[in-house]
Amino acid sequence: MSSAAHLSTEELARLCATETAKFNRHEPSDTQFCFELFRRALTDGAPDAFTAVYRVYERQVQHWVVRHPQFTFAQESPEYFASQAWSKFFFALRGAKFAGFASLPQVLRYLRQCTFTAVTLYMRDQQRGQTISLEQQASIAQTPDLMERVDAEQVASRVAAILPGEHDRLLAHCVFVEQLRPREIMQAYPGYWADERAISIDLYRIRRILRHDYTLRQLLGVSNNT
Amino acid sequence: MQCRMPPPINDDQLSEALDGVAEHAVLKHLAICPHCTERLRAARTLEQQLTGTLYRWDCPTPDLLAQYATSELSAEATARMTNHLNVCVRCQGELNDFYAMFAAKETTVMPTVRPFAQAARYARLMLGQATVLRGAGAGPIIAEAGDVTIFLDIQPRTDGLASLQGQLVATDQAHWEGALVELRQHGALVATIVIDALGSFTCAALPYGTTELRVTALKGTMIVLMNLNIAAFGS
Repeated sequence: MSSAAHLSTEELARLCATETAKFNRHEPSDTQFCFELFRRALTDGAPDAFTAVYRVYERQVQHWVVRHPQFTFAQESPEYFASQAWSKFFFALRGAKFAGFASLPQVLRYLRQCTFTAVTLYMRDQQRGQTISLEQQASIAQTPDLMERVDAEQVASRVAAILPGEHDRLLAHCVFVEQLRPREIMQAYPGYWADERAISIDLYRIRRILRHDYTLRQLLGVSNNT
Repeated sequence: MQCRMPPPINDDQLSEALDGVAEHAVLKHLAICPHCTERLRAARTLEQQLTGTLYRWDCPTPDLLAQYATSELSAEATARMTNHLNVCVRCQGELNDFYAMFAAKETTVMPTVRPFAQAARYARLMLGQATVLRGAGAGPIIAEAGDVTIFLDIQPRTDGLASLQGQLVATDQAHWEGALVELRQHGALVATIVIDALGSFTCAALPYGTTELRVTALKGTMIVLMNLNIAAFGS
């Protein structure tokens, strides 16, 4: 057991802040105090310890947020993503799960991963929000993830089954799953299509096939024939 | 119902109308033909449902991408991920984001705060409704944001601090289990609490002062309750 284990949380918080400041000045630093603070916060579930580590690393997490290349395109503040990262971090490591971490760098690396996840998930949601209607957004918000995935798997299988060739299936994936624009498809798959016009022509044909498939319409809950 | 101006518009013309590139004659046809307008509506619904259902349905979570990038996945999972990355431009982009974010050397730098950030956050994260405070005085404070109600009971302690007992009630209670509550005064963090399965949270010692309460659910929803005057409610 390290000497840090005998210190009060208040004393640990003070030493953790001091050692972190040393680290940031590129001076030799001792990681045991911060690690013990994290351990108390997560394994023991001590709220004062969690508040203390949050305070020490608050700016650091916000710094990671702004380093995410997509942050430039997000309409939220660094604090917003930092709160989410901390929330995910706590939930993932609380209780016995923290035992898998042996050192402070490991813990911080995971915290950084949580920051990446928070920004990335937000960007995925933003992209999705741009392409679906408000009614759909409401229905998706109420649908459990598992059911959503089962539905998607069935729909994707049906789309794959009714499209005649590999090229068509690839194009359908690009457009309906990844929501890429013709220009992005050209860049991602050079040589597959002559130009953007060729992509549009293939896509019109694919849309025609999908629109007239009774099973697909049933799966998507769209009854009217077009 | 039949087309009022035969021949009905064809499938490619429908697609052009959906893409906003239809010719004038097609738009004119749609303006006077309920049958073809209905076909257009059905086609639009189908494509919206299709993109809404399929959007990145087979993509790994960002956590898995991060584990892949740091070689923490099993051999089998790594092979699956590699196969997916070969056909998914979006995930390739996210993986590059991860590498870019992690390439930087560890240093603490103050982030740049954007001028619009506060307004954007509060405007969009109140779940579409203004938070309402009522019950100031002896009873609990009740704050509402969309389908979420937060009850706060603040009691003065003998040492000049206050204790806060909170209860979050929502239509989807499970969504808020494990949510992180942050209490801030003048921008500085004074306490963090995690909401339990029943929606309860407690802060044993809170200094008096104007307090901001932020609740962040694991799935990202955030509720912000501003200008909570602990002294006024607690005394």
